[in-house]
Amino acid sequence: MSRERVAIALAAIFILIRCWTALPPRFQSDEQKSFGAALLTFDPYGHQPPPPSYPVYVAAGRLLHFFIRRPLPTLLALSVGSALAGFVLFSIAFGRLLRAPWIGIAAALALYVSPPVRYLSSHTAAEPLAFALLAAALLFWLRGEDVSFAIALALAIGVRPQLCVAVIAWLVTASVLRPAWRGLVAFVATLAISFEPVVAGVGIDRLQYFVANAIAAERLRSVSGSLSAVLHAFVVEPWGMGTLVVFAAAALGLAGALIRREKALFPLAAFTVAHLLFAVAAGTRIESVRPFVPALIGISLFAAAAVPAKWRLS
Amino acid sequence: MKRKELWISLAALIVVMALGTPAALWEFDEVLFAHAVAHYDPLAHHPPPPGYPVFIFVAQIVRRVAPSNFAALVSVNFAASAIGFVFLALAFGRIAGQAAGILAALLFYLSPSMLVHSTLAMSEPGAVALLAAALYFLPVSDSVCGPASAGRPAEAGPHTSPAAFGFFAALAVGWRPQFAIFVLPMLVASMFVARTWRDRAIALIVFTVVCVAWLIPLASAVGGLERLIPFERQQAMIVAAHDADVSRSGWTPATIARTFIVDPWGPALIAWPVLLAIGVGVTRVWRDPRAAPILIGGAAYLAFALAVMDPADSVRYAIPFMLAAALPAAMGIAHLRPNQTYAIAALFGAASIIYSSSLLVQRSTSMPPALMAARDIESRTTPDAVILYELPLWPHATYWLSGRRLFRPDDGLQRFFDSKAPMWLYADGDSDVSGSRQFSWAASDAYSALTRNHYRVVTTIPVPPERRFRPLAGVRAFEREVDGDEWRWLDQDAALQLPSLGATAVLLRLGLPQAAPFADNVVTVTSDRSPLGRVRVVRGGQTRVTLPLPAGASILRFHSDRAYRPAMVAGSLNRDPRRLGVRLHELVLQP
Repeated sequence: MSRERVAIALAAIFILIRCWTALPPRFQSDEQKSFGAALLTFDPYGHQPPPPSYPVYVAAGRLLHFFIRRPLPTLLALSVGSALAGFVLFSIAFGRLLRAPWIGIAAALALYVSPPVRYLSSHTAAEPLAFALLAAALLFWLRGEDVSFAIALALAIGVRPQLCVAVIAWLVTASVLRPAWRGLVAFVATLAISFEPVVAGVGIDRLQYFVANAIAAERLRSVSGSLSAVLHAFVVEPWGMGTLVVFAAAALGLAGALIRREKALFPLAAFTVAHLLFAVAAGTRIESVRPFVPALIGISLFAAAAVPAKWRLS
Repeated sequence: MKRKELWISLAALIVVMALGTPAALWEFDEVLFAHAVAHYDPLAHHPPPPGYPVFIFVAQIVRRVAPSNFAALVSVNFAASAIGFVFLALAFGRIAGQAAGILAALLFYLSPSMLVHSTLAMSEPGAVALLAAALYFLPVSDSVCGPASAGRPAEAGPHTSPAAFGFFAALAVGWRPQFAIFVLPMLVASMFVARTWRDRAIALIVFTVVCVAWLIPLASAVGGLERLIPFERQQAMIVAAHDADVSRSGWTPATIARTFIVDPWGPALIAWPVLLAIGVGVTRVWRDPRAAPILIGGAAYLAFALAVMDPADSVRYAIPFMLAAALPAAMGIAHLRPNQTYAIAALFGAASIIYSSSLLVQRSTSMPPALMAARDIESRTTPDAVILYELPLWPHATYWLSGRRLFRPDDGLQRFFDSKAPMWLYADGDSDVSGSRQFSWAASDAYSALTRNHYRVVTTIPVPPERRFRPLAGVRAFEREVDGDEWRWLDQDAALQLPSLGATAVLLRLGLPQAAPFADNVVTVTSDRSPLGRVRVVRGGQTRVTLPLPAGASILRFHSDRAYRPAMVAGSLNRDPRRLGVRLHELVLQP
C-alpha cells in the first residue's frame, strides 16, 4: 500500500472518530424527523420530506433502512458513510487535479474537518451523500468517463436539489471543455428518473401549486434571518479564525488557476462561484451558513491550489 | 452452470428474504392457513377453498419441530423460495444461457411482488418452487429444437425427466390448486415438445397418479368425493360472483390489465423497463420449443387472471405469470446488455427494495396492527364482553381471540343490542368513535399497491348501549374506509330496533357519497308510526341531526325519497347490485 493510501486511511479513521463522537441520540429538528418518517411514507405533497423533496437521498435512506431497520441510525449511517466515501474520493480527485497527492489529501481533510461539514456529516443531512456523489463525479471526469460523471452529477441534484444551479454550471463548463452529448443525455435522463417519484407523489395537476407553495414557504422562513448575519457566519464558522486566511488563499489559488489556464480546475471554479451567488440570492437565511457549505468544496481545493508548485510533494 | 454466481445470488436472496420475513401472521389467508396447520378442515375454510392439501400436509410435518403454526408455514416458504430460486435459475439457464437464467430467477424473486410474498405464510412460494422444479425436469431436448428432428428422436438433456416433471407439476397443483390454470396448459404444451411418446406417457401417468394421491385426503377431509365436487363448485360460484364480477366495481379493462401486468413489478420506473425487456425477449424466445410450455402456461394464466380473478389481489395472483415473464425479460436484458446482467440484477433488486422497504421493514420489525388490536381487546375486556369482528378480520378474531364471545357485527347486535354486556368492535380501518384505540403501520405506495390494502390500520372500538341497535330490515353491513369514515347503507325503506334505555332523543348522522347519482336525498324518519322529522342530505356531504323520541319508542324507520342501484347507473363501473338510499354514519341515543 502506498504512503498516500495509508495517509488517506488514517485520515478517514480520524474523520470517522470525529463523526462518531458527535452523533446525536435523537433527531435534532422537525426537518430531520421528517426525513426519518419519509423512509416509511414518502409524501412530498405533505412535506414529508420538506421541499424540494430530496428524492435520491430518501431512496438511499430507504435502501439502507431495509438493512438497519431504524430511521435515525439509518440516516446517521448514511451521513457518516457518505462522509468517509466523500473524503476518500475527494482526496484522490484533488490530488490528481493538483498533481500533488499530499496536497489533495490535505485539501480534502481541511474540507471534512471544518465544523459545518463535520456537523452535517454526523447528523441527518443530505449534504454528505451529495458531496460523495460530487467527488465521484469529479473522479469520473478526470478519468474521462463522461456518462458516469453526468449520472453522478444528476444524482447529486437528486440528493440535494438546492445544488442544481451550481451543478449545472459545473456540467456546462465541463461540457465546453470536453463536449460529450451522451453525458448530457445521461444527465437529463437521470434527473428525470430521480424526480419521477416526486412528480408521481405530488401529482401532475398539483405540481405547479406545490412548487409555488414551497417557494413561498421558503421565503417566509427566510424572513427571520438576515443576509449580513449569514455572511458573517460564513467568514467565521468554516475554519474559525483561519477562515479568512483560507478564503484569501482560495482567491489566490483561483486567480492563479485562471492565469495559468489550468482548465481542469475551471468546472469546480464555476461550481463554486455559481453556488456562492445562488446561496447569496436564494439561500435560506434561517439555516445560517448551511446553504453556503457546498462552496467549501471549491474553496478547499483552490486554497490548496495556492500552494506553490515547488512545495507540492509528488 | 456458473456455480459461483448462482450461490452468491442465492446468498444475497436469502439475506434479503431473512430481512423481509414477517414477524407474525398478517393477511387473511395466512391466518386461515395457520388454522389449517392446527386442524385441517376445508369445510370450515381452514384452509380456504380449494383445500391446498400438499401445502398443509408439509406444513403440519414441519410444525412438529417448529415452535408455532406461523413459524412452520414461514419456514416452509423460506426454504421453498431458496430452493425454487435455484431450480428456476437452472431451468431458465437451459433455455436462455447460464447468466440469463440466474438473471431471470433474480428478476422474479427480487421483484416487489415476491419480496412481499416469498416469506408470507401463503401457498404461492411452495407452489412456485414445485413449478420451477417441474420446469427444470421438463422432458424436452437441450440439443435439438423440436420434438423430433428429421424423424429421429431428440436427445435428452442431462436433467430431463418426464417422471420428475409429472411429479412436481402435480405437486404444484396439489400445493396450490389455482396453479392448475398454469400447469395444465403447460402440461399440454409439453406433450407437443416432449422427445418421445414414452416420455409423454410417463409424464401423464405420473401427473395423474400424484394428483389422485393428493386428491384422496382432500376428498376425505370434506366428507368424500360426493361432497368434494359441490364444495369446489360452490367455491367456483363464489369466484364467478365475487372475483369476476362485484370485486371489479370501478375497474376498467385497462386498469385491470395494468394491475395484473405492471403493478407486480413495482412502480412505473421499475416496471416499464422490465416490460420493455419482456417485449424484446419474447421476440427472441417465442420460436424456442423449450420455452413454449412456460410461455403458453404463463399466457393462459394471464388470460384467466384478466378475465376472472379479483384485481384487489392482482399482485399476488400475478405471480405465476411473472415467473413465466421473467424468462423473456432476462433474455431481453441479456440481448441488450450482455455484459451487464448481474449489474442490472443488482440495480433491479436495489430499486425493488427501495420501493418495498417501508412495508417489509415494518412487518418484520413490528407486530401487525391486527395482532396488536387483538391483544388490546384481550387486555381491555372482561371475558363476558361481546366481541364483534368485521369480515376481513374473521380469521384473525377466531385465531387470536378464540376463547371470547365472537360474533359478526349484525349477529352480535341481534343478540345483544339491548344488553348491558360490554361490546367491542374489532375493525379493519380507523374510527373517530370516542374510546377507540388505533393500531397502525405507516402508509406507503408499496402497501397500497402490493397488498389488498387491508390491516394497515386496525381499531378496537367500544360499542356502548347508546350506540347499539338491532337491524330489522334494509340496514346493510358495516363499511369502513381506512381513514376512519364508517357507515351502513340504508335501503330506500329501512328499519331498526332501539334498546330500551329510556332515551329522549336520537342523534343521527346521515350522508350521501360523491358518487351518488342524485344531488340530494330527503329521508323521513319515523318512530313506530309517529313521524320524527325529515332530513335532507346532499351529495358528498353529511347531515347531523338530533330528533326527539317519544316515550317508549322502540322502532326507527327510514324512508328515502330516492334510491339507486350502483350497478344500474348508466356509465357506472360499479357492480354493486344493492338498492341504496342513504348512508347511516352514526346513531347515538341520548338520555
